[in-house]
Amino acid sequence: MTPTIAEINQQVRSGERSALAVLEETLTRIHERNPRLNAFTAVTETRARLEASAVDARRARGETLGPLAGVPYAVKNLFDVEGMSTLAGGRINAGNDVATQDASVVARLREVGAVLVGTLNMDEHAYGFTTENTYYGATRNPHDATCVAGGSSGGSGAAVAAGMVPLTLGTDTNGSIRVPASLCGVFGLKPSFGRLPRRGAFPFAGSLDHVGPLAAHARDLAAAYDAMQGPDDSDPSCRQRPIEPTLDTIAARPDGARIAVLGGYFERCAGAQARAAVNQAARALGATAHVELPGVDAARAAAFILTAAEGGALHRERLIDRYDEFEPLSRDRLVAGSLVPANWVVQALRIRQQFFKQVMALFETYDLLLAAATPIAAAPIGAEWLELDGQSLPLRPSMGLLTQPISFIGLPVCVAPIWPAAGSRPDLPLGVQLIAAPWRENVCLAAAHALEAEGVAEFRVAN
Amino acid sequence: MDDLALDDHVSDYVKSALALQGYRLDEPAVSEIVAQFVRIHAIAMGMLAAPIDPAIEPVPSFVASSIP
Repeated sequence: MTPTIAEINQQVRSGERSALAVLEETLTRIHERNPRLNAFTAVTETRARLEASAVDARRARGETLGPLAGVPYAVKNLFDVEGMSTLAGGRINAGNDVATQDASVVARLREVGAVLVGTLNMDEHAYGFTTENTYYGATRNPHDATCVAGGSSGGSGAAVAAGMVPLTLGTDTNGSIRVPASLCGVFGLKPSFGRLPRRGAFPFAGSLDHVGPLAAHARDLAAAYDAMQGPDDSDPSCRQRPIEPTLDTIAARPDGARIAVLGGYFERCAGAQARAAVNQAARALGATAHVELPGVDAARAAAFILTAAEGGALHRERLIDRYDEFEPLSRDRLVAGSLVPANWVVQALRIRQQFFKQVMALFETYDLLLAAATPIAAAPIGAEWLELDGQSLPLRPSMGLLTQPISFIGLPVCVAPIWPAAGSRPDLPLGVQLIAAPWRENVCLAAAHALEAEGVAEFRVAN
Repeated sequence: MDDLALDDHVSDYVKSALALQGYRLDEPAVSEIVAQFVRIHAIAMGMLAAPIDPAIEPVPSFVASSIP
């Protein structure tokens, strides 16, 4: 059983263990396990020891410690960490100036006593779902090291799944928190668009980018999420909403919640194991209704076009000058995206408005929607194709088929890890998306906690 | 328009747009970008054919702030 954030925090508060002792144990685990998995791209030992020592010094002075005091965590390497160049998965960024301050969410975790132990591998510039990085290597799935960890926050998923740290941060543009959470068997939260500040997070597609945590337990997600909430004047995308804590109410059973399973597109794009995972979660939550999202095929297509256009535009200048230095697996997609005509983008924006209105109408009837997070469980590293519903699809983009329409309209989603013992890889986990209306992260987290409390969703540390 | 003619049009568009944007890439790279754009084009066609309320504006971000 991996200790929860609350347990670590309590041990540090009580003096049962010092923050430094927790850190040293964490560093030992990282040094033992990371060489096999390649989740970390840097271990920030010096900074971590300073932060842990500061926590212990505050305790020694009798000061009140924050809710994450002494809790080790790591971040996807697109977050600014003061004194380090922000890689965003790209060798092309390795020579960039070092960050002069932490990203907003890193600063907020530091303020509540969390201890940053390193930065994590990812697909270059977050354009991928597998974390097969040509320059920094593939991150391996802790449950089967021949398989991908998912992406683009693959290091974030693997580091938690392997028990190296109890908490990581990732980003999610089209599924980059939810896909690795699903494939690695950990909990993940993509909050509402605009909920958490993105200052200091290397962008991918500005109208779709989200920041969020991955963790071993639903309670841990809530604790980290609560600590990172709040307006941030330095981020124009961050809404001016007050902090709405979720940890205190997470154990409230979602009895009476109106829950439906997403059918149609979401069933067609789900393999046998994914459907089994959804069925298990639906049974446990008492969901019997099945509904379809109208226009979801067009929504997924529109999300794809916006991502291509925004990502291509972001990198166009450097693609012109330094094409050869970009990741071979994604540079041609980026260049192609920079050529998308404006009228396609305009149509995609209109589809987003229409889809958002249609889905909001559905939330008048339901509080929570369920869907699988990935079509299949983790695939072998290097695999190019997946078989789905009798069709052969390109694997790398298709891992986001089930997540992309949801983030397109910024809905909050929690992924809970299920072990359905079905399909072609019954030994591997597969996550279920718990989707709520905007700003209802509390609903997603309570459902994830309920599944965990009943033993339906489970974190199993990989050895 | 048959598939072959469409592919030619897409290829012509990509090569023109690359030049217009200032890219100077070798032929293998251009071929790969054409292939990527063919895929983007196919996905875009489905989106462009989708029925949509003409009153809906292309605002850049959805409005979730109305949810209390």
